[in-house]
Amino acid sequence: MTELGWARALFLAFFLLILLGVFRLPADYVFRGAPDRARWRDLRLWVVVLVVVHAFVYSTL
Amino acid sequence: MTLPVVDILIIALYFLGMIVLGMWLSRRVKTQRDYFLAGRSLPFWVIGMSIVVSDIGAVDFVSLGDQAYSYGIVAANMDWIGTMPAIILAAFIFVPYYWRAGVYSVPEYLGRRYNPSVRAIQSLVWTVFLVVNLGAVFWAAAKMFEGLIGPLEWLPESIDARLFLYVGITALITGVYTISGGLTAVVYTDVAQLVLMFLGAILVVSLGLSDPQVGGISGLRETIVEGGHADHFTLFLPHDSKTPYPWTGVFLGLTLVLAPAYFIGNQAIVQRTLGARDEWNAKAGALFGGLLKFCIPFLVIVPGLIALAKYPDLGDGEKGYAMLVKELLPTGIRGLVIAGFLAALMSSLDSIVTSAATIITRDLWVGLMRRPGNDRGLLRIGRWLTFALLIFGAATARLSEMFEGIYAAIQSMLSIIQGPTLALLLGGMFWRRATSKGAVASLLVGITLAISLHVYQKAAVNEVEERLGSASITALYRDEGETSIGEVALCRVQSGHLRYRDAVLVTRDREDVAFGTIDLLRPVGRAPAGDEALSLGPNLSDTGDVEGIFAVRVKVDEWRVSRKEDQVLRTTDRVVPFESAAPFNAAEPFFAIAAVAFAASLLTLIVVSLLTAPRNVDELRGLVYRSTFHDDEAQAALADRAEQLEQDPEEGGDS
Repeated sequence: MTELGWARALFLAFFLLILLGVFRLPADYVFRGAPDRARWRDLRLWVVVLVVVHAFVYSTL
Repeated sequence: MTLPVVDILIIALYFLGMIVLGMWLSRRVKTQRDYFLAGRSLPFWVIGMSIVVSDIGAVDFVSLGDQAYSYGIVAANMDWIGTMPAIILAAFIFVPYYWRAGVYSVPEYLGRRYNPSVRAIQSLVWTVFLVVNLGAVFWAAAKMFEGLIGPLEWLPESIDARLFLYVGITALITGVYTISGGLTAVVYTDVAQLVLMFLGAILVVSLGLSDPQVGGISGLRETIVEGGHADHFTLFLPHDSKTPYPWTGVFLGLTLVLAPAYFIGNQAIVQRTLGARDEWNAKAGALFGGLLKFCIPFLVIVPGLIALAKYPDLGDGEKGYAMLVKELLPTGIRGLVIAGFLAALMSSLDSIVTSAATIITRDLWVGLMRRPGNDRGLLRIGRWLTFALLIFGAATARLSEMFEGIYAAIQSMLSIIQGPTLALLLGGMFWRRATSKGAVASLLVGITLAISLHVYQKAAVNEVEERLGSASITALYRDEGETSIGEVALCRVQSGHLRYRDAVLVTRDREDVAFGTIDLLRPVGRAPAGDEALSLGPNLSDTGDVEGIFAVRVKVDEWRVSRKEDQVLRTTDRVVPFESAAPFNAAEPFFAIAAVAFAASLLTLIVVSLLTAPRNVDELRGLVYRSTFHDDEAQAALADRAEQLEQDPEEGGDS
């Protein structure tokens, strides 16, 4: 693999690490302050969207 | 160019709308908390939109467009990996912590965590940065205004007078709604401004891509690659790239240092989340901002690429956006886009002004000067400061011209203060033993080191640029050189056989030899060989003999010095390598300097903290704000302990 190939792999691994880290946060902490526990208020799912779109551009460009 | 009445009316309508909205929201402002924190009432979607539009301003349209023109989509790293990880860190760890602490500013948090000296240093440094930034944003606005509107019959003939007029109008409108409505007016006008900014930018991108000369996304790519810019469509550049974006710098400097420091330590960004109505909205607001920021490169970077495809010989990429607006947009739409640009500009201005006013009032006036005052008094001070800051920023806007690039100037300042700030924030949050003495030492070491590195780098790069600038090219020969950093210089081409790429440059005194490439941009003097040099394109490899003074972009890989003038070209083994004294490869190594300053600050914080363990009441009180960001029990225990010691200081002693 070339230098830039390794760089790309590192970035994607970093994204995966972020996802793992966020899903280790307790639900109580994530929902603290929210009026209810509706699914859309689960901020961990927001992070999934955020990471997936970034992983897409960093794996293709 | 004459701006049609319809466009002027749209711009006037925008100004009026902002003033009316700001005045209407001013009814909500009764206390300093209303003014500085919007009464802690903001929902997440307002916070998210406000974060984005405060972060992305006129400077980004002009300067990131220029970066895209020069280096390609690699500049999108600033808004992608330069945002996402940092904003997640901010949303889940720092933002809820600040919100629960009920602070008005980041320096206030650092003051509570460490001591008043840290708060004072941080406040002073950020105030200077914000005020200088204010002038730079005003100046960028004036330049953009001039580019977009141009001379009109009823405007002053002198360009200086016109620039002054543009700065004055911007300051007046921004001042009216910011002074009257405070953060509430700022964030709600930000929402309107974001919609307008997105709308305007989408119009520029769609009309630009549908331009026959560009030919859609595939045509854009094809044209730029054929123009010799194949590396303009990658997010990764090699570690030894002399652009500001080698992947190592992007990851170690931007992703791990500059971006986290910006999203957790920059008052202009953090202040919106402090005004959230509850902790969930504070966190969600930051994340929503991250989602919106993903769209920014499509609106800011793509116009830079369109400008490159349409105007490959522009020389100054900062003019690209204005040229696109002038050329592509029909009447009415142009007014809308100019209003969108003004929205981007004013949203940055109001954020900077509000943040600076908050820090000066809360951290310098109340904290450092120890003048608490009453609530109404502090509200009045905040409003007067906002007014004074706008006047000062407008008056000093012209000074930004001293810098070669506005964007570079702001990035340089950020790279000086953000590394040390991040070290303090991370150390304070995650390491309970970080002490106030360690924090002060860390700040001083980090800031001093970053300034020294900038000064040293600048001197070394200037030396190389002086050689380029004064070089008189007498001949160019083929070589297998690769391109590196692009520098624009004026060179006299006396005679010779020019080749477009893969050239060896020999200076007139035949002492210096540069291996690299040369692109002719435009003749600025006599060019007896005719106009054919003007049409130099990527496919034209041989221009024949030309003579005249040209603006060229010289891309140098290596300098060599030789005293044997007759043998320079034939016996390269006799040449002596030119060793630049620059410590970094890139001419503007913001990321690298920030990373080095951060590492030095963190190391200093650790070492000095280990040598100065907490021993008194103040230190223990500081530990209340320590690393346990969701450990309420530990926080409560420490708070009790601090309170107990405050009542009976003798008990703490030096134990």
